[in-house]
Formats: sequence, structure tokens, C-alpha cells
Amino acid sequence: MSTPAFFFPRSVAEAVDVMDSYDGAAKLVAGGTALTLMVQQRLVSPQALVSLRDVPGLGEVLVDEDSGLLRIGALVTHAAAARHPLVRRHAPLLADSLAVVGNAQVRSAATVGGVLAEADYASDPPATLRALDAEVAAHGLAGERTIGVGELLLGFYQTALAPAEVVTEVRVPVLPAGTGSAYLKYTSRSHEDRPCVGVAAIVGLADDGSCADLRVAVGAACDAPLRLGDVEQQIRGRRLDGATLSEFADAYADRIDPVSDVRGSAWYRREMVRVWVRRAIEQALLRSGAHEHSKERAQ
Amino acid sequence: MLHCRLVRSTAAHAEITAVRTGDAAAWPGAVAVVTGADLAARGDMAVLFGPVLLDQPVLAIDVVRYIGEPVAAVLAEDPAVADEAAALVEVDYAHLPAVFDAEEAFGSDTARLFPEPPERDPSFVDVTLRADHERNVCNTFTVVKGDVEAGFAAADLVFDDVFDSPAAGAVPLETHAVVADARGDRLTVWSSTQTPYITRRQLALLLGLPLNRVRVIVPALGGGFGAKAYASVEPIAAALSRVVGAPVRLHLTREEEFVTSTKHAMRVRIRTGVMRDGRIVAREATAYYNAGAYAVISPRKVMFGAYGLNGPYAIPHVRTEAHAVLTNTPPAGAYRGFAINQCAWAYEGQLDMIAERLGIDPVEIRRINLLRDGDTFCTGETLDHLRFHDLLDAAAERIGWDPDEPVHRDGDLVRAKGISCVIEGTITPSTSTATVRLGPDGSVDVLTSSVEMGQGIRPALAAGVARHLGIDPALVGVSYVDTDLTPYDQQTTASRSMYSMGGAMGRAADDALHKIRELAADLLEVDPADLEIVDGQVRVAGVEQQSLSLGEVVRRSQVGNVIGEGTLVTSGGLDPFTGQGVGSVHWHQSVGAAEIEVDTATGHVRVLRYTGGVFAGEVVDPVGAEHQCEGCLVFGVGNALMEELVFDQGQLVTGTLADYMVPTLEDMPRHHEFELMEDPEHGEVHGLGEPALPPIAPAISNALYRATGVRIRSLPISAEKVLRGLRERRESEQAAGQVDEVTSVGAQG
Ligand SMILES: Cc1cc2nc3c(=O)[nH]c(=O)nc-3n(C[C@H](O)[C@H](O)[C@H](O)COP(=O)(O)OP(=O)(O)OC[C@H]3O[C@@H](n4cnc5c(N)ncnc54)[C@H](O)[C@@H]3O)c2cc1C
Repeated sequence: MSTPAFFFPRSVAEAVDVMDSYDGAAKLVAGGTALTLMVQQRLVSPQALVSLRDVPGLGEVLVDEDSGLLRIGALVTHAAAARHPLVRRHAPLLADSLAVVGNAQVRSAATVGGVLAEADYASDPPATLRALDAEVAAHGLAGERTIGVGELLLGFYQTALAPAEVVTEVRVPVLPAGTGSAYLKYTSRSHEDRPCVGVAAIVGLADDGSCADLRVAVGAACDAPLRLGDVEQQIRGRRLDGATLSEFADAYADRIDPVSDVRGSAWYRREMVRVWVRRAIEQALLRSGAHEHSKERAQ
Repeated sequence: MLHCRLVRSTAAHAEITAVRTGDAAAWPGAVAVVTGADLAARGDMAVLFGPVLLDQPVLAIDVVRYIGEPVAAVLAEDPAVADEAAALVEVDYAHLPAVFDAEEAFGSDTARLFPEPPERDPSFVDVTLRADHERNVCNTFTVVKGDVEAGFAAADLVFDDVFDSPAAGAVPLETHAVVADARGDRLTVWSSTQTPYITRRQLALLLGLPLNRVRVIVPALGGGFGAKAYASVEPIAAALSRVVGAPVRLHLTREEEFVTSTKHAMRVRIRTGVMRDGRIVAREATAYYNAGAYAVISPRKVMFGAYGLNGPYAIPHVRTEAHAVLTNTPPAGAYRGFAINQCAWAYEGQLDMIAERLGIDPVEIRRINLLRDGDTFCTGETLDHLRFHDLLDAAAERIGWDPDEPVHRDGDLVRAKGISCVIEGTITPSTSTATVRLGPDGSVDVLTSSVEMGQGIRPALAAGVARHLGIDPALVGVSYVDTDLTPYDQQTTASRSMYSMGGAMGRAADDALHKIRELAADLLEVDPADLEIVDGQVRVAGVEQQSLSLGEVVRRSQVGNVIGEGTLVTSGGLDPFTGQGVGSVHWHQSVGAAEIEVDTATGHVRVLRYTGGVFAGEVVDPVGAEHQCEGCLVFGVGNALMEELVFDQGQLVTGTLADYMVPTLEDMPRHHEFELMEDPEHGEVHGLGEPALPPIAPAISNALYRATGVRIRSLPISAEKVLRGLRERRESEQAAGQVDEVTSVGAQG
């Protein structure tokens, strides 16, 4: 219960070593927005705090042409990522979901690595990263590995990370041209509340207007972002008309195991999943190339 | 100076069986660990306090009555050390039956907060108590006018409804803060209180000191909104300072702030009898105030709700009753609107349901019933200077009210307008005194004990005194509060300062001018009656060239300064069994009109436009007045749509600003406008701190009702409640096959 020791390692390997030496009693600090509150409210009492501030190379954003991956350093803040031209071009819905987090103060401190490692169910970016099939690179005692966001986020504040494992990068497959995407955050109380429900939707249409690709992840409504691969599969090849969208949204609403909290009961959450899955897909459709074409043709 | 960290109860209602302080006391840097029993054992101070009833322990003794109640205090020079040591104090509890709902606590057989009746503070003379500790009641107030049974018998239709308001936080930017220094034979306290003189009295009683040896200094506050009225943290710091013989500082965390003083949760059962033509002929209403674990100011507050439930309407037969009921939740205190919000939430909501049933437009039913000059209020007072009809008509026009306007639909979004009207009193009787001091250079000091808490009382008083003396406001300095130096004022609450302190200050300025006139008469060798004072110049009437400035008079007469004193005392009061007498020196009159949009797929409500109208009498500081109304709007939208202290078995669930929501700018209507109606002939200044607030939530709710037919009966109007209401409505419509008549459907929660 005394003041924790503070470390500023200069490499990822050093950070891993310090973490390891505390055998689970140390905590990494990125933006500190979540950690500070947890310490203040005595939800965690780490013996050591290990800041990633001085570790070089964690603040970059680039696109790897070979792999087609957008690579965002773990220490890039929400604000910096949200306005970064590469993020806006290749994963616009990620920019959108980072831009609606909390308020400007939080966004300019919170990091993309931190939000995933924190695994708070009531966050915005994780659902988007899940829909995008993003992965994280993590460095631990056994070296580097990559973990899909779906495998990383295990449940309420639970991740697949080992105690001495550092997320170094978030890797996002670049969206093909013409793909429509949207992230819709629904707050049930104040505008700056955490989401009651957040939905990320990605739609690609075939030339005949049928659905070639549909990926939807629901965040903040249950323990970890929910994606239903089988439901997504079933919809491929079909036209995304009103009835189909309702069917799709109902499937998410029926299968989710929603939380109850001050932002809404489980009943309400389920209903909101129904509404916002549909709205997110509609929004994504509006932004898809197919829609742009049909608008042009109509003119 | 030592910093204090409090150890707070984790039990809602329990006997304290052990407090183990050894580890905390042994923690390096901890100076002292003090419990309620330690204070009691000293015998050199009282250990209970409260503005009306001496029921609240400085630190809990034997029993805790709510989760969050201070049980022990840890003192250290380093606040972080105090924090660490506080975490080491262990308290054992033997749980007692607890009760959280006011109506349940009212006469509960199982849970009783006080086995013995608490003593009352001898100096709180204006409250006649009808306390009944056996029923958990700390006061009851009844208002009777006419013969309510006869009224209901004559009514064509009777409406019977229940409305709830939850506890809420005032959420001042700055939390409660105090430094107390009890060394020697004096006590000096720097406090964030809105009630310096009452706090002084409470502290003098606690420490057994004469009033003049207790000095309360109040710097500018970062907001109060009622939460900082009456002593709360001050007795703790004062008692601890006496124990350790050093100055003690206590500054609450945000989490502590939430459990220190709340808005009263309130249930109102309201029955209203009407004629088919829309006239209200009878009203019977009972309010259950959830006072929390200690009485604080609830014993006085019941009066406001009892007459407040009459609403701004001429009702011949009325019987209202308000009970302040103790429960095992944090103490409720003063809160902007002082119970009128909760009353208006009930009667204005019900009135729109009545209008709907009778097929009368909501604006029209108000026109029919609103009080007019010469009408008798439920207190027996004959009212005058009433401008309700003007305010209503103007607000209806500003919002573009059209009785036949259809509801606007755009996909899931539905838009409509709502209106409401409210009457509110100001604290009566009340007393303010002020001193105005003219200096030889023409500058003027106003010595006042009105508390500046961001409401702008200092610039407003400066403007007032400058106008009175005919001088530049830049020459006027207004003091902060220091009870050793600034004269008595009852309190900075109830929107009273501009009227009461402003009035006292005007008299003080007149008194100073009277003395100036005498001095100038000597200097100019004329009769005082021949002098006139215009624009800060004293001159012989008709002889322009023979004139002296105020400063010159002071200087040349070598009096050092000229001091004027003024007091404004209002008298009145109501009989607690009948509610008859004088309720308020004047009545705050307020209307509100809102246009809202509801997303019928989610139930989420947005306020698009809001306009309010308030009778201001005379506006002293136009910018400040506007700001007060805008502040009310932020407060009102928060109360209406999101603010709620949610408790689970007495444990606050929304106890941080991540869980308790206050509105942000994005939640505010894009357009708002306030009318401050003046009446120069009336010649009175009405306070503007609160009146714009109470109509806001009912106006929003009434707009939702017009948009969807969903009547929300418990604040806040959460999206979930609205969605449930919409679903129930749809189901009952389907069950009925069709709707021939719009009926109200209760939303749950
Ligand atoms: C007022 C407020 C409002 C908010 N509103 C929202 C909202 O609307 N939507 C939303 O999504 N979120 C919201 N948040 C949450 C915020 O986004 C998270 O706090 C933030 O993303 C965490 O990032 P950070 O960099 O500050 O993490 P930190 O607080 O530094 O760390 C969080 C956790 O992750 C661990 N960690 C951090 N970085 C790494 C890493 N690279 N590798 C391994 N472990 C790591 C830490 O040890 C810690 O356990 C809000 C927060 C606040 C304070």
C-alpha cells in the first residue's frame, strides 16, 4: 500500500524484463487514463508502474504495402490516430470510433494499445478493431507473437496477454476500395458517456448489388465485442434489403448475452443491438462504392 | 496544518462493534486517528450537530445510518499519508434493519433510525416541529384551504397519480473544503459554506464558544447550488483541530461529495378534481421527502413542498401534506429549486394528462386556472403582481405553440412541444444586513456576508450600490465573507440575496447618504434639507456650481470614512398544521416551453429548443441574470434526462463522474431564450438563481407526452423508460384493436 516504484524502460525488452521481475505486481502505463482511475479507486494496487513513454518506435503509423496492413504503434493516442491521414483513408471507421471516445482530454492521452489491453467492455474502438479483423503484436518473455483482437479480448477486463507482455502495435487489414463502413456509438445518457451500445459495420457489395462481404461487431453490450461469423456468412450473396437487415440484426439481438448497468438493462441493450446493428449497416451501405455508383447513375 | 482523510461507513444501518485504529495510528507519518467515541469521551465539546435537529454525529458514535457516513478521521501532514493510513482502519458492524425508500420508512415497523427523539437546536426558532421519531419522520407540514372533500364531490373527474423524483447531486465544480483552526480560545474556519452565519452558530454550539470567538471566512466558492448550505464538513474539521491542537484541512473527493448532500428523492401522490370545462376544483397531495439519514434542513423544506404542490393555480379546495422521512441514504439538503422541482414534476405532468382527457389544449387549461391578482393562494394570502398569464402567452408565442399543430414525424424521429408553469416562494421571514463605507477618495466598500459562489452576487451588488449612489461601479468593492468583519446575513440560498441583501444594501447606501448630507451641510454652511445628491455629487439645490463629490465630503469633514448601515427584515411564516399565514414576501413566477425530438426506436430524447419566462421585478445585472437562467437550463436538462443517484441497498452505484452523468454542451438545446419580465412600478427585485429551473423537466416530459402519448412518472426521462412506455403503448393499442381515445400509459421505473 505504499507509493509504487516508477520505471521508464528504453526498450520493449527492458519493459518486459522489469514487468517480469515484479511477477505480476507491476502495471504498464500508456496514456494512464484508465490506470490512474483504477489506482485511485484502489481497484489495483501495483508495486511498480512501468511507463512506455521512452520506448522508441511505439508512436508510428504506417502502411505496409507487402502485407496490406495499416500498422499503428501501441502508444499512438486516440486523437492522433483519429486524424491521421492513413487511418482515415484505410480504416475510416476506426478513425470514427476513436474520435467519439469520451472527450478531447481523454482522446489526447488514451492510446490504441491501452484501450485493447484494458479490455473494458464499455469502450468504442475494440468493436471496430474486431470488425476489421485487426491483430496486435505483443512482446513477451517468449518473444513476439500476434494475436487477433477476437482472441485477445476474453471478457470483462480480461485479455490473453501474459502479465509481462507488451502490446507494441495494432495491425489492421486495409479495407478494399469501395467498401462501406461505419461505427455508430449510442449513448443513452450524456453525450460524453461511454457507449450503451456501439456497432461497427463493414459492407462490400458485388457488382450485382448483392452482399459480397458483411462484417459486424457489437461493442459495449456484453463482455467483449460480439461478432457472429456464421450469421455474416449466411448473408453473403443476398441483397441487403430491409427484411434481410432485420433478420441479421435480430440474429445479433437474439444471440447476445447482454449486460445490465446504469446505461441500460439487458432487455434494453438487446433492443438497442437490434436497432443499431441495422442502422450501422445502413450507414455503411450509404458510404459504400456501390451506393456512390448508384447515386452517380441516378444523376 | 494537518490533512484529514475520513474513514466512511460501508454499512447502511449498523451498530459499530469495533473500530480498530492501531495499524493506521502506527503508519509512518500518521499524526492521529480519531473516532466518534474519542470525541465523546473528551467531554469538552458537543458531538451532535444539525441546523434544526441535533441529530448528526461529527463522527459516528455507536451506530452508522448510511453508507458513506464518516466513522473515523485520520490526520497527517501529507494527504497521501492520510489516505494510506485511512485504508488501514478496520470497522466491525452488526447490521440493523435498513430502509431506503421514504414511503416505506414512513412509519416502518422494521427499521427505525432513532430510538430516542433528537434534541433540537435552540436557536432555530422559525420551525415548528411535528417530528415523530417513532415513525422516522423529522417533520410534517400541512396546508388546508377550503373543504377538499366537498371539492372532490363536486368535481366531474378525479385524477389520481404518483410521481417520483430521484436523489441527485448538485455537482459543484469545487467539492466541499474547509480549514479549521481551533488553537487557543478561538475557532477560525475557512469554509466553502453558503451559510456562514448559521455555520458560525452551529460551530459555536458544538465547541461551546461565544459567537464572537468563532470566525467564519468564506472565499469565493466553486459553485454551491444548495449542497454547501448548513454545516457538514466544518464540524469535523473544527472538532479535530481542537483534538490535535493544529489547523486541520478537509477537502472532499468527488466520491465523498456525492454522499454529503443530495437533492431529496421525493414521491408525490397527487389527486386532482376538475370540471369538464377545465377548472381545477380540488387538490389533495402528499409528498414523501426522502431526507436521508439526518434531518439537516428537511424540517423547514417540507413547508415549501406543502404549499408548492398547490402549483400556480387558483384552486378553491386544497389539502396538501409533506413528510420529511429519514432513511438509510446520504443526507438530503438544500438543492437548487428547494423541493419545487419535485412538486412541479408531479402537478405539471398530471395537468397535461388532465388536459388530454378533457380535450383541452395544455396552454388553454393553464390559462383557465393560473392565479390572477386578487386570488387567494392556498396559504390564505391574497396575491398581487401576478404575471403568469403574460408569461405563459409570451412563452407560447416564442415556442410557436399551435393547439392544432400535428406531431412532426421523420422516420423514427418524432417532434413535439410542451409547456409548464411554476410558482415558488423565497425564504420568509429572512434578515440581511449590509454596511456601505464611503472613503475619502470616493471609493466605496460594501461589507456583506452574501457568499459569492459563481452566481455573480458581488458584481450585482456593486452595480446596485453604484446605481444607488450615482457613481461608477468600478469605484465599488464588495467584500468576501468574514464574520469578524462583515455583518449578519441569514444565508445565501433561496434566490434571496438580490432581493434581501440588495434591499439591505440600498438602505445602507441611503443611510450613508443621509450622513453625507449632514456633513456636507456643515461644510457648505447650509441646511441639510437644501441639499440634493445627484450622480455622486452633493449640491445646494438649484446652485449647480456649489457641489462636492462624495469623496470630497468625507475628506474635508475629516471623518475618515462614512459608514451607512442597512437591514432588511421580512416577516411572515406559516402555521405548520394549516399552512395559513404569509408564505413568501413575493412569489417567483416561471414558465417554460420545450420542443423535443424523440427517437422512437431507442427512446432517446433530445431537447431541440427551450424558452423560459420569469418575472424578475427589476433586472439589476442583465448579463448575470441571463447566466442564471442558462445555468438553470443546464441543471434542468440534466435533471430531466440523466441525473440520478442510483442506490442498491443503500450503496451508491453512480458515485463517480464516470457513472453519474451531467449534461455536456452537446446535450443542450441548440436554441434557447429567456424572457426576464420586469415591472418597474412594482419596484422589487426578484432573485433569479432558481425560478427558471422547475418548469424545465415537466415541459420536456409534456412535450414527450404530446409526441408519443408516453407519460413518464419518474425522473429522469431515460431512454429506456421511454422505450418501455412506447412498447406498452403499442401493446395496449394492439390489444384494444384500435385507439379511440388517447390514454396515458405508465412507463415503468
Ligand atoms: C472520462 C473518461 C471517459 C471515457 N470515455 C470512453 C468512451 O466513451 N469510449 C471508450 O472507448 N473509452 C472511454 N474511456 C476509456 C479510455 O478510452 C481508456 O481509458 C483508454 O483507452 C485507455 O488507454 P490508456 O492508454 O490511457 O491506457 P492506460 O490507462 O495507460 O492502461 C490501461 C491498461 O492497459 C494496460 N496497458 C496499457 N498499454 C499497454 C500495452 N501497450 N501493452 C500491454 N498492456 C498495456 C495497462 O497496464 C492498464 O492495465 C474513457 C475514459 C475516461 C477517463
